Amino acid sequence: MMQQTAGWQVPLLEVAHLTMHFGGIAAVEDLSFAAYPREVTAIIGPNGAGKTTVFNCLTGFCRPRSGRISLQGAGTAMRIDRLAADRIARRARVARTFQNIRLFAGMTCLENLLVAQHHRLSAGHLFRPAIRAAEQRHAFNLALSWLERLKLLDRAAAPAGTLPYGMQRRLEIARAMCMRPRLLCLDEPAAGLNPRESAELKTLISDIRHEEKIGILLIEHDMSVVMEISDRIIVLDHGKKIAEGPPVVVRNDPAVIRAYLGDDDLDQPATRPLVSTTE
Amino acid sequence: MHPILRDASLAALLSVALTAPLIGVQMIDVNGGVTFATHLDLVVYAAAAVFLGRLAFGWMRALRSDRKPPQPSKRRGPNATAVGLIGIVLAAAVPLTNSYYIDIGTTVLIYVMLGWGLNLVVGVAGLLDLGYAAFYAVGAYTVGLLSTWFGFSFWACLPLAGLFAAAFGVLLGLPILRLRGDYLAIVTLGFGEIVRIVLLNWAAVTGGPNGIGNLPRPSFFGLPFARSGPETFAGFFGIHYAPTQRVIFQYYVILLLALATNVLVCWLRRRPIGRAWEALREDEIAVRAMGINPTRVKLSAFGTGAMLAGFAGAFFAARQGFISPESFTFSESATILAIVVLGGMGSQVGIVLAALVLVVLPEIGRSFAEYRMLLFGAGMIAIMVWRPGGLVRTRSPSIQLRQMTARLGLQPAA
Repeated sequence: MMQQTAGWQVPLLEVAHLTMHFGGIAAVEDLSFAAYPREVTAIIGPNGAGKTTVFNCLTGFCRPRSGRISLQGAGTAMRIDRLAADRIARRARVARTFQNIRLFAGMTCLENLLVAQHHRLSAGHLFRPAIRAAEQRHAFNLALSWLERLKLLDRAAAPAGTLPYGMQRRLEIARAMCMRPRLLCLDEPAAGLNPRESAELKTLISDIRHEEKIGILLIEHDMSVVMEISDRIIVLDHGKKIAEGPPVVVRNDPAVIRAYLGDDDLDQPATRPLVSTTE
Repeated sequence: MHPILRDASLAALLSVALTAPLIGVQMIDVNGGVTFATHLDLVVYAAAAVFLGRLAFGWMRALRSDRKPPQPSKRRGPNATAVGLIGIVLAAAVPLTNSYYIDIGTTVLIYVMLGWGLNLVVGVAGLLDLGYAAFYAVGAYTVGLLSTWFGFSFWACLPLAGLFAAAFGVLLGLPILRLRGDYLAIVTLGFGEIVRIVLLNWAAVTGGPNGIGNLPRPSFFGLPFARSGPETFAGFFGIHYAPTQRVIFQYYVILLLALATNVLVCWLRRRPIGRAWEALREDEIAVRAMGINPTRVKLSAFGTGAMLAGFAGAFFAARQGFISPESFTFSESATILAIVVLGGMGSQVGIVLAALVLVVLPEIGRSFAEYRMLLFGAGMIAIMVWRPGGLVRTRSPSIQLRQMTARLGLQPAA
C-alpha cells in the first residue's frame, strides 16, 4: 500500500529501528518509516503513544537509544541521529514547531522571524559588504513575505507573546518556514484552534507542501485535519507502529480502531470508521 | 468593621506582638544582676504608626481601584535621542561644579558602565550572574599587576584589562553555561568569591590584603597631571597646576568610556547576535530549534559583559591609585545587580537612573548616617512596590518594519 503513493521517489527522511527509552519505559520501540518530499506524513496515535518523542529524536532534542535517522540531502544521505539539535536545524534544515508554543514572547513578530534567519544575517562576510547586504535583503524579504502570507503584517511590531492564540500558532509556522527547511515538523498545529482557524491551517499546510516543495511531518489529534491533508499516516500505539498507509486505509484499519476505541468495538470494525467520511 | 480598618487593626496587633519582645523589654545590668525595664510607650507608638500607615495604604489602594484602569496610551515615551542628549550635556557639565560632585559623578559613571555591562548579561541574555565583581577585579588587577611588574601605563593596560577580563569570562563560561537560572547564579557567586580569595591569599603576586598602591594615573596624551616634571599637562598648556585638573580629566575619561559602552551595547543589540541573546533569554529550546548554538551565544554575552567590567575595573584602579580585594566583595556584585534590576532589565536609561539613586541616596543619607541603610532599604522597597518591573520598563525593538522596508526600497507598509 505504502509504495503506491511515492514508490518512485527517494525518501526525504528515513527512520530505521528507532528506539527511545525513558528509564524502564520504552517511549518508542523499533520504529521505522519514511517521509517523502512534497508529501504530508502524519503521525497519529492515542495520548502517550510516543509521537512527540519521535519528533524530539528527529530534531535532536532527544538522543535515541538505538536506530538510525537519515535525511536525504542533495544526492547524499546525512545521518542526523547523533547531531545536536541546533546542528540538525542548521545543517539538515529540519524546522519544527512545538506542541506548547515556544515563541520568543518578549520580542516582536518581526524579530522572531529574523532570529530564525540568524545564520543568514550573521554570515561572516565582514569584508564583502555587498554579499552581506544581499543576504540581509533576502532575509528581510522572506520575513516580510511570510508575515504577509500569514496575515501578520499589521502585528509585525507587536511582542509575540501578546498575540491571540491562533496568531501565535501561525507565527510559529512562519518562523519555522523562515528557516527555509527541507523538512517541516509540525507538532499539533491545530490544537486549540477554532473550526475556521483549523480550516485555514489545512489550506496553509497543503499550500506550503505544493508551493515550497518540502516534506511535512505532522502530529495531530484533529482527525478532520489529518485525514484531509495527509498523504500517508503512521499510527503509533505504546511506542510501536501499528498501521501505516494512506488515510482511507488507516481509517478502517481494525488495529487503529482498537487502539483508539478499545477492544469492545472490534465487532463491527468496518462500520465504525475512525472519522466519518461525511464530515 | 470596615475591611480597611480591620486590616489596619490586624497589622497593629501583629506589630505589638513583634515589637513587644524586641523594643518593649530591655535588659538592664544592675550591679551584676539582670533586670528588665519595660518600654510600653514605644510599643504603643510602633503599633500606632503601623496602624495609621496600614490605614493610609489601604485607603490609597481603595482609591486607586475605584478609578478606571488607565487606558494604554498610544503616546510613546519621551524621545530617546533627546533624553540621551540632555543626559550627556548634563553629565558633561558636572565638572563646572565643585570637586565633591565631580567625585560622586565619577563613581556614578563607573556604576553606570558596570550596570550597562551587566545588563547585557542579565537583562538582555538572561544569564543571572552574581559574580560580576570578579571581572571588575580582573580588570583592576590587570592594571595593578602590569604597571607594578612591567611598568605599563594606564592607557596600555586598558585594552589588556578588557581582553583579560573577557578571557576570564569565556574560560569561566565554558564549563558552567550548561547550567541555568539559579544554578548559574550560585556558580557565578562562587566564582566571584574564588577570585576575591585568590587575590587576598596570593600575597606574593597581588600583595594580599595590603593591595597594590601607586598605580599609574591616566595621562593626557602622554602628559601627566603632576605638579612638577619635564612635561606636565599644566606646563604644556601654560596654566597653573591644580589638583582638580586630574579629577576633571578622569571624570571625562569615564564619561567617554561609559558612552562608548552604551554605543557598543546598543549597536550589538541591533545585530543578529543581540537578537540571539534576547531570544536565548526568552526560550533556550526554541533558540536551539532555530539552528543557533546556545553555548556560543551565551559565551559571547558572558565574554562581552566581562570585557566591559574589565574596562571599568581598569579605570577604577587608575582613579583610586590603590586597589585591594576589599573593593571586589559580593556586595559589589549585588550593588551592580541591584542597579540592573532596579533600572528595569534591558533598559539603558533606567540603569543610569538606578545608578544615580543607588550611589547618590547613600551620599544624601551621610548627614544622618545612622539611618542611611534604613533610607536605602526604604528606597528599594518603594521601587519594588511602585515599579516592580524597574524604573524604566520599555523595550525598544531591535528593528522596525519601516526600517526594513526602507532597506528593501519598498513603500512602507500601511
